[in-house]
Amino acid sequence: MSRERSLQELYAQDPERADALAFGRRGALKGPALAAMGAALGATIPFAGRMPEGLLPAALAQPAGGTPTLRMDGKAPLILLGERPLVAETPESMLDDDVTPTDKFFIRNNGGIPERFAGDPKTWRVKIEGEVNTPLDLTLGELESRFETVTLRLQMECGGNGRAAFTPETRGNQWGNGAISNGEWTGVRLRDVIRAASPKDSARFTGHYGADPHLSGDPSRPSISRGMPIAKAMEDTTLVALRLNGEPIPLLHGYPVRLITPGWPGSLSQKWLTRIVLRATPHDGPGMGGTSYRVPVKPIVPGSSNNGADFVDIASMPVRGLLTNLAHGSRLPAGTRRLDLRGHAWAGDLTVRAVHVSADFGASWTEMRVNDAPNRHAWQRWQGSLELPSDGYFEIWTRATDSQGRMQPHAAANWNPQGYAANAMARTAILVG
Amino acid sequence: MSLSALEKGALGAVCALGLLVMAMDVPALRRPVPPAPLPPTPAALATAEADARAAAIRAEAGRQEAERAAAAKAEADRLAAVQHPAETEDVLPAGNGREEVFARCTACHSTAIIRRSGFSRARWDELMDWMTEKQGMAPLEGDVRVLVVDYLAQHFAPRRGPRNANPFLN
Repeated sequence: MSRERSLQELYAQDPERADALAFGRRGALKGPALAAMGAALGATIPFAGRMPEGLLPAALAQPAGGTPTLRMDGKAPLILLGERPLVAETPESMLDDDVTPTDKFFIRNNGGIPERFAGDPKTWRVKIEGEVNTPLDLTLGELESRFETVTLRLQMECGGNGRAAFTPETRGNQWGNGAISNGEWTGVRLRDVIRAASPKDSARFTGHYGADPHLSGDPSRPSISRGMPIAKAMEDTTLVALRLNGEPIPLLHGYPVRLITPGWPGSLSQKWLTRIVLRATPHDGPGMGGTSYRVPVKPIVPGSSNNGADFVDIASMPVRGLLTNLAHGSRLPAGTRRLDLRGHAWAGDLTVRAVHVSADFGASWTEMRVNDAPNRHAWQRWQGSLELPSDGYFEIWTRATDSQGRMQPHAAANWNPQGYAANAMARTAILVG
Repeated sequence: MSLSALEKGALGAVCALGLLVMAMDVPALRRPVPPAPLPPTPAALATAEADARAAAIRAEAGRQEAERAAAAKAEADRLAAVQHPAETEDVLPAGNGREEVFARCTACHSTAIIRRSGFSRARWDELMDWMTEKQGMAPLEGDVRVLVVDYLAQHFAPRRGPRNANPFLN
C-alpha cells in the first residue's frame, strides 16, 4: 500500500518526472521502473512493453483514500459519490443481470429527494401544456386507462458516465462506467400523450418539470428541468413510466411517475414528473445551455475555459461496453489461462456491431459474440473467452463498436468543462496467481 | 314467646299456600311481555349493510392513508439521514480558509464533490461564478472569495494523469 501511494504521489507532484521514471521514451516500462511498478502492484506485468505511454495501470488509477459505500435499505452497496445531492454509482461487476435489478440502479439527483406522495398514486397529476391545442391535466389513473401500456427493457445512462477518464479532471461527479441501467419499464408512450394534446405545428421541443426541490431549499427554483427535440419525444421507446421491473417506481428513482428517454442523457428522464411543456424554441431550464449536457463541435484544449456558446446539446449517448462477470481487482488462481467473459454493450440510439477484448493493452483483440437487443434501446449481451499467456497482472480492456463503425477510444475524447459523453474503453485489472 | 301447636299449624298452612300460589302459573300474575319487534324491512337491512360497508371502507382508507403517511415520513427521515452525513470541518485538509469553505459549500452540498475534484485556481474561480449563475449560490466576492478559492486551489489542485502540463495552457 505504501509503495502504491508513493507512486501516485509522485504522479501528483511531478507527473512528467514520474512518467519519465515509470515509462521509457517510447512508453515502455524498463528495468528498475518496471520492477518498481510491478512491486507497487504486487505482480509482474507481462505486457508492460505494450502499456501506452502516459497511462497508469488501472489498478493504480483508483481514487485515493478508498471508496465510500452507500448503505441504504432497498439499495445494493453502490459506490457513494456524494450525499447531498445523493449520487451513487453501480460497480461494473454488479451490472451482470440482463435486466438491472432495482436495488442495483445507479442514483443521480440534482436536487433534494421529495417526500413520497402519500395519496393514492393514481391521483398524481401530470400536465401537458404549451404549444398544444388541448392542454391536458391527467391523473395517472387516466393516463393508464386512456393510453396503451407497454413494457420495454431500456437503457438509462447518465450523460456524465465515464467522466472519471477525462484528463484533466472536469467538474461533476467522477463516474467510472457504472452510471448505466437497463431496467424493464412499464408505462405509456409519451408520443400517445402528446398526440392526445393535439400539438400545434410550432411544437418543436419539450421542457420537463419534476417535484424534486432545489438544493438551496428555494421552492420556486426547479433543481433541474431539461428538454429535447420533439422527434425524440415521439419515438416509440420514450415512455411516461409508471413501473420498474413490475413494481411501482421506488421513491429514489422517481415515484410515482417519470420519463424514460433511453439512449440520451439520463437527465432527460425526468423523475417525479409533474409537467411537460411543448415549446417552439429549445428549453431554457436549469441544465440547458452553456456547458450543461453540451459538448464542443470544434474540440477545445483540455482544461481550458469555455462558456459553451458554440457547443451542441448531447443527443444520442456514445457506444460503450462493460465487462460484468469479472470484478476490477479480481484475484484468480495461479495457472488460470482461459477466461470466460461476458458483459453488456450499448450505443445510444444506435446498436452495437461488435465487442472486442484485449489482455495486452490493445496490442491484440479478440472478438466476442454479441446478441441482438430484445427491443430497441435495450442493451446487448456479449460473451466469449480469452486466453492468457501466463500468471501475473493483466488488464482486460473492453471495446465496443457501434453500428456506424465507431469504436470506444483508449482515452476520453472531446474534453469539455463539465465532462460529458466520455466513452473511453473499460479497463478491468486482474491478478492471476 | 311461644306458639301453640294450632298457631304453628296455621302459619305452616299460610306459607304452603303462598308457595303454591307462587308455583302456579296464574296468567293474571304474569309480567306483560312486549310483542316481538318485526324484523327490519329488506330496504332498511340493505341500507344498514351499505352504511357498514362504507364505514369499513372509510376506516380502511384512513388506516391506509395513515400508514402511507407514516411510511412516507419514515422514508423521508431515512433519506434525510443519508443526505446529511455528520460531516465536520476536519473532513477537509487543514489550512487557511478551511472554516469558510466548509461553512459556505455545505450550505448546499456535502464535501464529497469537493474532495473528488481537482482544478487549477482559474477553474475554481470560474466555478464560483457558475454556481452563482446556474445554481443560485449567493455571490461570493472580495476577500472571502480569495480565501475560499485559494484554499480550494491549494488543496484540490488537478492531480489526474501524467499529462496535465498541456502545452497550450499557461
